[in-house]
Amino acid sequence: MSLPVLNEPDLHLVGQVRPAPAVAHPLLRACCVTVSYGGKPAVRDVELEIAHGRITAIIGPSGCGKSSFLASLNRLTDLIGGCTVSGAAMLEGHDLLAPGVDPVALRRRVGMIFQKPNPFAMSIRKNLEMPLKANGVRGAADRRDLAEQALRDVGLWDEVSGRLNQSALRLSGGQQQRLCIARAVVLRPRLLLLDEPCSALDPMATQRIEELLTELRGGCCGLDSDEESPLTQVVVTHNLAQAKRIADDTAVFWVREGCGVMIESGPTESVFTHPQEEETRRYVSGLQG
Amino acid sequence: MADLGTPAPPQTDQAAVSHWGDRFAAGVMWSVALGVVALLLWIVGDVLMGAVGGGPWAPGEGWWAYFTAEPRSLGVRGGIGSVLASTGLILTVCLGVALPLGLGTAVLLTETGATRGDARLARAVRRSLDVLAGVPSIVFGLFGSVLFCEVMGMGFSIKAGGLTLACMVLPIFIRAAEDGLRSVPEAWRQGATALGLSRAATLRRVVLPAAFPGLAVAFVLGVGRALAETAALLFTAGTVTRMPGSLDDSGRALSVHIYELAMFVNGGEAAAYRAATVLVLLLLGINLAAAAVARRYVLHVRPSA
Repeated sequence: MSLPVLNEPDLHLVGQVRPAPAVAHPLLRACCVTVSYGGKPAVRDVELEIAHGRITAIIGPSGCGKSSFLASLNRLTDLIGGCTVSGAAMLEGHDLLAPGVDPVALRRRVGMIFQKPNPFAMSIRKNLEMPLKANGVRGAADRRDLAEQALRDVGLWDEVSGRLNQSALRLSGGQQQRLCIARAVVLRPRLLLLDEPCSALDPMATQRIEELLTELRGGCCGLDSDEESPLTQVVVTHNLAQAKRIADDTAVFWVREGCGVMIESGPTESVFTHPQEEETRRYVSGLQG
Repeated sequence: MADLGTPAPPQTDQAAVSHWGDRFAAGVMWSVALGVVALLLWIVGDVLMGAVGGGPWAPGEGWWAYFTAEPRSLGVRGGIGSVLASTGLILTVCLGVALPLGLGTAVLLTETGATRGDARLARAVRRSLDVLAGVPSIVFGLFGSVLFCEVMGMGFSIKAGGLTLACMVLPIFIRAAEDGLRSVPEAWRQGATALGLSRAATLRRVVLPAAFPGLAVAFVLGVGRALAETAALLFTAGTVTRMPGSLDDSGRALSVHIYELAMFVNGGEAAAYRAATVLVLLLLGINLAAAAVARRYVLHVRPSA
């Protein structure tokens, strides 16, 4: 494993920020995904391609099923009583919504970051090492190295390296969220889902997270491999400016006939400047939503 | 808006009234709280005075002999060695059964419930537990005496007493353990699940450690209830003061010892006070120890909470 060299102690942008690949081939393809609660669909027939190595933003008003759709992609919907998901979501040739799929194994491939940072009530070190241990990384030295690498990946190492044994709950909100991202990234997911990752953070912390996400898109080290590989991300956000800043592609969800649907998707630039749908036009120009 | 220099008079009056009202209410609450503390001190003080005023504990030997010697003259003289041994064994049987069963049930009640059937089962279990928690201990004693002593043929024995106590302690322990587990934020369960932890791993690595302070409280409540119990043991563990040789022997718990001395033995008051002192100190010690463990743990894992 090659550790990146840090020139300045306060440098948090580790590694180079690479541009998103111009030619997009899908990492994940959602076909007819419908998420229902107690038989009533919250979001219906979503057809969406998530391009490999790019950041896709999902925007739209509250209650349009953005988060439900996101949660279905790593089967967190399984935890909710009365929630059913139909359709298919093909990740590298496998339908992750199929009944035979082991959701525990899937979630290691598809990570998730939540709105409110949720580090465990453990030390910073244990927050990173416990998931590694639970996912079968046996050697204590390996776990320590991977944890350090993950902290460097999210630019947290210089801030916390002297207090790894302190409780993670002592960190600021932004630091906690970066720790959560480190915790997810260290398992080397193929896809990272982020459900409004900055909505509980102040602007400065938000900026650092956004920088981090674009940088992770370029590549991060992790479990299983020494070489960096791009991290595809799907970000649900209420912050249109954020979508414009970080997303390569954007999908717009809307409520039609009391049910969430995806009304349009495409490169962020064209969705914001040449929206195809009237709702999108009004929403992105701030007239509605 | 009003000028800053002229505050409105009616508001001042109202503020003054509510100020005195606040003071009065605060005074009432303080005296009630002090009353609770005073009551505890009174009881402990009375027990201690009774024990100290009752003459030497074990004449001719060191004070520690009181904790090792067997009771003589129906417990008026001698020590409480065998009684302590019986108490410990009964408690061990009780906790050995109640802790795993109780923890398992509490986990079932909090960590499952995705399906409608689960929810219905949980509701039925919870309601049964609430009813069981309110059943008088004498009823548990009679139940245990019939089921364990007679039907299952254990007779008066430490085993039967411990099992009866377990039945009594279970509802209290489960509800308290459930509260402890429920206090673990849902976000941590979600987070652990999203990190590829199985349900078992989530429970073992995240939920149970985080719930530890609450589980310690549940443990103390259970132990306290078991140590203090008298009626349920009279009919099941019996009142024999001999040193128990096995779990099939009858044995006299500390609380039963106090009851017998106070009610049926002439001149037994001093000995009853002595035993009561031991019981009170034991309970106090367990409470403080559990509080210290829980506090230390909370400080370690949740400094900001």
